[in-house]
Amino acid sequence: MANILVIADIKDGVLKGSTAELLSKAKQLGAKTAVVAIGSNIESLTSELAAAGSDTQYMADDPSLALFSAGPYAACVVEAAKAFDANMIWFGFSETGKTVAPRVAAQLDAACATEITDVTLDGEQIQVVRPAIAGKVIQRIKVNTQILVAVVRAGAFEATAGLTGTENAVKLAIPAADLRAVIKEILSDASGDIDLADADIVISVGRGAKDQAGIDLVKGLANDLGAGFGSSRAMVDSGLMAHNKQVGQTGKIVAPSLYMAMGISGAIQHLAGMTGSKTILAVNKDPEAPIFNVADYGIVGDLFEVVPILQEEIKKIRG
Amino acid sequence: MKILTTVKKVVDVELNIHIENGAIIEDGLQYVINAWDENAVEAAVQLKENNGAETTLVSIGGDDNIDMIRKCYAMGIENGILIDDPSLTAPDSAVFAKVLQKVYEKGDYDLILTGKQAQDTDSGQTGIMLAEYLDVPCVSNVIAIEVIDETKISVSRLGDTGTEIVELTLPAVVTVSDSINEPRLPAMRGIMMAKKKKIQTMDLAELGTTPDEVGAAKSEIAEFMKSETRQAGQKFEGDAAEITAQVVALLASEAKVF
Amino acid sequence: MSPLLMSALLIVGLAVFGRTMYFKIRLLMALEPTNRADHITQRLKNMVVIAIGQKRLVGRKREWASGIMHAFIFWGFCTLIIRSLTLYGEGFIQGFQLPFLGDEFLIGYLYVCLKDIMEGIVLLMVIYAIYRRAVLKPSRMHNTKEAYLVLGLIGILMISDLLLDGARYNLIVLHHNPGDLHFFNNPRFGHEFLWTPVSVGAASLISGLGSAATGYLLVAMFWLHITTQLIFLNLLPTGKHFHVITALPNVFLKSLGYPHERSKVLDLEDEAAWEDESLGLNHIHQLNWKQGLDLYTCTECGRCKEVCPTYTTDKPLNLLDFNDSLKFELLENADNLIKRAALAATLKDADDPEKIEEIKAAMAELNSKKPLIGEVISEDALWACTTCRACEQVCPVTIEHVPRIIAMRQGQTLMAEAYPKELNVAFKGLERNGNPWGIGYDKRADWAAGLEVKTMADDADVDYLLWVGCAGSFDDRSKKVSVSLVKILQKAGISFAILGTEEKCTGDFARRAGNEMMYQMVAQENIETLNNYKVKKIIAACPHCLNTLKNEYPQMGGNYEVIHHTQFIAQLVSSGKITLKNSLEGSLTYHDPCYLGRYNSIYDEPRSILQSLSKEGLTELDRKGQESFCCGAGGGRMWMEETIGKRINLDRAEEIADHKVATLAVACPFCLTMLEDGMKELNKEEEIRTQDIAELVANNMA
Repeated sequence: MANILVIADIKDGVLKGSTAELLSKAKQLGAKTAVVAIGSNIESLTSELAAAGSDTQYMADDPSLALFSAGPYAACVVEAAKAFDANMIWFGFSETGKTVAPRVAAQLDAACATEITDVTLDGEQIQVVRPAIAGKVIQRIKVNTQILVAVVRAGAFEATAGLTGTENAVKLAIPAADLRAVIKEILSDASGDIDLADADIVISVGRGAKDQAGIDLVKGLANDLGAGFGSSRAMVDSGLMAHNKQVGQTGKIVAPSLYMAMGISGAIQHLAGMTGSKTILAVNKDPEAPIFNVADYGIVGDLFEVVPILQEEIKKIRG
Repeated sequence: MKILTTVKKVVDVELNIHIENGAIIEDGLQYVINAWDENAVEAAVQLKENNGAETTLVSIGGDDNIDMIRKCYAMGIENGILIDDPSLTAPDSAVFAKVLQKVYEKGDYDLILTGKQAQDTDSGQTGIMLAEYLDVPCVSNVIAIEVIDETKISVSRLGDTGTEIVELTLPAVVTVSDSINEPRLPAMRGIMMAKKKKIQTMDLAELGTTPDEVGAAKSEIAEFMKSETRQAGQKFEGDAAEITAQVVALLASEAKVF
Repeated sequence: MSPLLMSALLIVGLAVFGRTMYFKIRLLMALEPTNRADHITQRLKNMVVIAIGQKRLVGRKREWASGIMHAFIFWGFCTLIIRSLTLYGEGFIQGFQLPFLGDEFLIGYLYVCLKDIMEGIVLLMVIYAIYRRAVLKPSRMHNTKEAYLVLGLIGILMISDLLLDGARYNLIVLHHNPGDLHFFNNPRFGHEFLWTPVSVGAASLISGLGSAATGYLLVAMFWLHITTQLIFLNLLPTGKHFHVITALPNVFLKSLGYPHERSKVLDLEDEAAWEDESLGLNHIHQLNWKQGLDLYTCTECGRCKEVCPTYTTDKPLNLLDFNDSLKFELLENADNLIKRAALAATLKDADDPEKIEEIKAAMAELNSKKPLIGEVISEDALWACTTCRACEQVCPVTIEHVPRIIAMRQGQTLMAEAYPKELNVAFKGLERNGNPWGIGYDKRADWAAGLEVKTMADDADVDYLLWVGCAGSFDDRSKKVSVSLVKILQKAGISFAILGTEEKCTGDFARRAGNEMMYQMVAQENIETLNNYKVKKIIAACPHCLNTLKNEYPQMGGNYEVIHHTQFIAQLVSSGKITLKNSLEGSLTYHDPCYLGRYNSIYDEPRSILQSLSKEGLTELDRKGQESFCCGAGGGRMWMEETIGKRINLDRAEEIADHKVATLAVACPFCLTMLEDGMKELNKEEEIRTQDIAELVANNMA
């Protein structure tokens, strides 16, 4: 039986969905589960962490950990991993995860794999599956060490409903701050907008929206649905949409239940960011646009005409 | 300031990758500099031009890395090291990081610049592991670098909550995002002069280490598989009101989204 | 009249003129060499048709009136040279006549008549010219004092000679010739003044003067004419009227075969060239002598500006100023350049290596240090050019504007690294994957999937190689044209193959953007591939590919028979291999691509095809054929953003839309993209369908 340690994904004091997804998979593999939660004022999350499917909660709760710092975060994870005697240490897909995982692996002399989409455990043999070469191929990787540190691709695992765990909080020692890398300032990403990574529905705008008027129009639809609002690279490059809204190979990779591409042609770089979505709806004036090659439902039309109709039709259905 | 940049040769991701019997068919593939490392090289050259830094690059591979190194010379890198050793056949990120650690220790560098990930593996681990081995701070996904003085730099990084401005004490490792700059095209004049420049080639022994010390890869690629491409679904053309209503109905009934 | 005075005037006038010309010629000889001594017959023909025949003025529908005006002033000048010689002779010997032109010969009378009428016409033309300048004020012209001065001087020349003959008439006929002046009076041909109505008319204007006054007037007019002429002669080299002397040689020496001087295949390995910055055109001393002559010859008429697609859409490329700025720079450096040439001559005799170094160093010192781009020509002006050649086509004195621009771009790209960085994406793509989009080279033949098209690798034993080009291979819209063309070739049973993934961009845009390195790289690779397959005949669907393959690859060892797809289709039709149905509905017009028309003189074949296809026939645009208006994509501009002024493709699209046609036919993938985009912007893409000729033929074949 394996011991799988999941790093809790906490943002602004809120526990994100990826934690439950990772824990569900761990339970599916028949493993003992634990989470490590790092931050400030996160004591209250213990029960939630347990409910998400963890049997032990390693807590590193201190004001010094309020802002992300790779060194201390890695140290906490390593402490928890050692205490838990973890075979696998999983991070959700985030900058934090991508930054801390390799450090943890280096400290534990463990194998490290990022963006994994599946894990199998055959006795002691761990294998993972992950995309490579800009998603053109899939690798099946055999791990040759006892321990694997992994970063899990967004939406790779599904949360099992009705999962339970045990409340069993363990306090971790608080590591010293790393004064060699200090965050001086954070220029935060807008506006209380819904996090693209978490949203169940994501709606993105492309060149077809043309200008602010078009953007506002599509934003209206996003607001109606409580959806995350994203963008193609073109709109970010032209300055109309913020950088952190970019969905694509070099931006955010999302995998919501429903992805709506409005006025987006479907360049490969964009597709790389959203083909993991469950259902894709595309609206584009050009019937030959490559987006239609991946869309489950495609509407050939002018988004300025279609969006208001969508809003109406959806209202009718959802009430 | 002395800068060490790492460059990796990767397969050109614009090409179709064909797989047979679990392996990639090499025929017809061409290899190019890792795009993110190209950003790192550009960042290094800019620091040379603006702050008088001294630049060195290191690459791990064989003779076919030489063209790539010369291109980097043409961009403005002053020194180049090629680590060529028969034992390095299927290195993973940790192995690369260990070799780079040895390269670092042989020199006297203040800043290590590397791309945040490689286009063939998309792993993003090497730079960070290197920092861990060297016990120096590291910031990844950096979009801007500013030199404060001989011992400190300030970098902007795309984090989860926003853009973080981080003050780093040197020596440090910085992995760069493609948003940091637009790599210049190697200058014609530079290409001419690069032809004559020397590249320092070393194997592990000359580097002062052994295959055992570097260690074996901690994981191996068992198999390559074709990635499932999404197929086109249903496309609707015609009266906007009609087809939109149709699609919404399908989203509810078929896709069960609403 | 007065041999002393005549001698004095002639000696002084001609000596000054000679000296000026001597220095002007020495300056040209101090510039870089170029070979223009070939094909004398062809050159003479050009000179006769274009320069003497004034073809580009008289033969141009637009501004035909001013064309006639100038033509007559010029022809007048030519005829009056003989008159001038007679007058000089008269200065020495009273009654001097040139051989065969005296009153024993009919030719003599005919000449006298011709001279008289010409003088009248020239005077009228001069008045018209002044009226145009002062009242009509065409925007292309620079209204300078020099212009009015010259017109004034020509006017004086005409008036003085007419009054001279008028006075003669009055003295001879009215006052019974007291001074015994010579005049024609051959019994066979009659009295001289029967043949000179205009002089007689002039005479009547001054008939009021008495005999003595008329006599003084005659003498005054004589010396006024002579002096004015000699002053005028000496004024010519100082300004735009130098063209009076240099235009004929300039047209004689114009490029043959290819419409302008081909770019040199630069030796990029030559380190010395890197050292003294002689790759490309960076400093004024790097012009060749023909380019110097071009600068002397610019008449400042401004026609180049008027037809330039960039100037008319408010970009800073003003070709008249371009010529003027370079000329000014050249003249500023004249002394140094002449000194340098003198030093170069001593190099031949120097055998001591130290002495040679010394001379070379001294020569380098005399080089112009001033960079042309930035200080003489602005960067925006340089990069705005689409290399469409409209300027060269319309220039009445055949100045070659475009090669200078490309040579300057070479310098900027290779030496100064100061080129629009947006080109980097295209350059990188070209280098890595042989196409400016950077799409994987392995996908180059994907467009042909399922069409049963052979590649040369499959079977090189075919009659034709179909050169698809980057757009035809990768651009979604242009791929449809490739498919149509294949349909046509297969219908006609033509044996052909494509290179498929072995094809690379011909390098056209790289060359036009001055990137000789990139160009040579792909050209070399393509030529190797083509020669390995022993390719003889190539059909190209893109005029840019056509032009490079046909006219530039021979410079690097690639010699092939290249034909444009419209020419080939026309051949197929005339040989009966395919039949066109006259079934295209609606009105139709055709946009002449620059690289098909002005670069390769292919205007008729596309039209003959379209005429056969269209029920309603072909409507012509105003700016058509040789005066076609560029779509804006040439010269590498396809890969750059247009940020200054109005969009060129929009201007052309508007012109086309005004004709309210149902179909716009094109023959180039750039034009297809740019004009279709233009129509989309005007929201007329449903109303006016932009189609390549191949598509129209494929859809209307029997």
